[in-house]
Amino acid sequence: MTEDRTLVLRIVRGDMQAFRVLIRQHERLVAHMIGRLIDNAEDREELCQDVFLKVHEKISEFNFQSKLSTWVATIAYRHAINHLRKNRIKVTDISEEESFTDRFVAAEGASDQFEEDDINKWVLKFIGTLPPQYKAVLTMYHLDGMTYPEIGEATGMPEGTVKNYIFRARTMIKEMVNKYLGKEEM
Amino acid sequence: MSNDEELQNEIELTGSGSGPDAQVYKRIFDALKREPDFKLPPSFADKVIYKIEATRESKTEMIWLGLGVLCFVIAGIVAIAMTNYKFDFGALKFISGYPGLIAFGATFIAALHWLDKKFVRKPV
Repeated sequence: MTEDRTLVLRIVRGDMQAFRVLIRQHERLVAHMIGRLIDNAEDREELCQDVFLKVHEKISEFNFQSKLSTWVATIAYRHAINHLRKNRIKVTDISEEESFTDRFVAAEGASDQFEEDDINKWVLKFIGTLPPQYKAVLTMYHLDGMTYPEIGEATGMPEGTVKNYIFRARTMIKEMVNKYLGKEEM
Repeated sequence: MSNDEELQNEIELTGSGSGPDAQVYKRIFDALKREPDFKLPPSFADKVIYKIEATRESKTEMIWLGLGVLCFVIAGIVAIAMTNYKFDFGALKFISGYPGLIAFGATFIAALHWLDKKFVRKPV
């Protein structure tokens, strides 16, 4: 936290080298978030740039109540969600009653869609079909090692919802994989 | 807590579990930790800093432009006052007969600017 404080104070005083350090420290986190949520490859780098431009613009408002990485993740998440909404991509939850596999896997010909043998690639494709909030929490938890409270703060969700989303997302992916494997065996 | 949730917690804590679902979950957990294909270029930080500095320069230029326009206006007022100049629109009087044309021209140019801003992608 002391390092974050020193870095932020230097940036607020106009030290661009310090801001370069901040970018290097957090570009992976931002790339993970934007890369997972935004499908259009052309938009990704520009959005990552926009995130850091926003970070620089708002850095004087950072009040050290959270980790700097959590604050940057918050900006990245909101930026991605706003971009999706602007492009009219639905950012909604899945109802508890809805069948997971019916929602994401076509009834027939699912095996035709996926030609790769590598299950890891299947899993990544299935992740790509999840709603944005699910992708975001999975990314923050598994790729960036953020805790439930940090993810809750970044996304504005209660901690319980974060845990629920992570559990449901992993269950959904498991069901999709099982259904795909079941079709292969047939 | 459901079986699925218990299984997920067990695999997360111990890295092992029994049954076919456990195997699937282990593969899922491994896949979730894999870095995505999208990576930022090495020059990314430079590009961001360049954009920030360009914006700063642009703001400085706008301030100088504003000051310049203000000085021009002040100089014009002083010149008019000192010379007792009387306004006469002269050759521009013919425009007063074509208000529609002026309005169309201004709207067309504004529309072109808006279309450019909305649809033309600036280089990254």
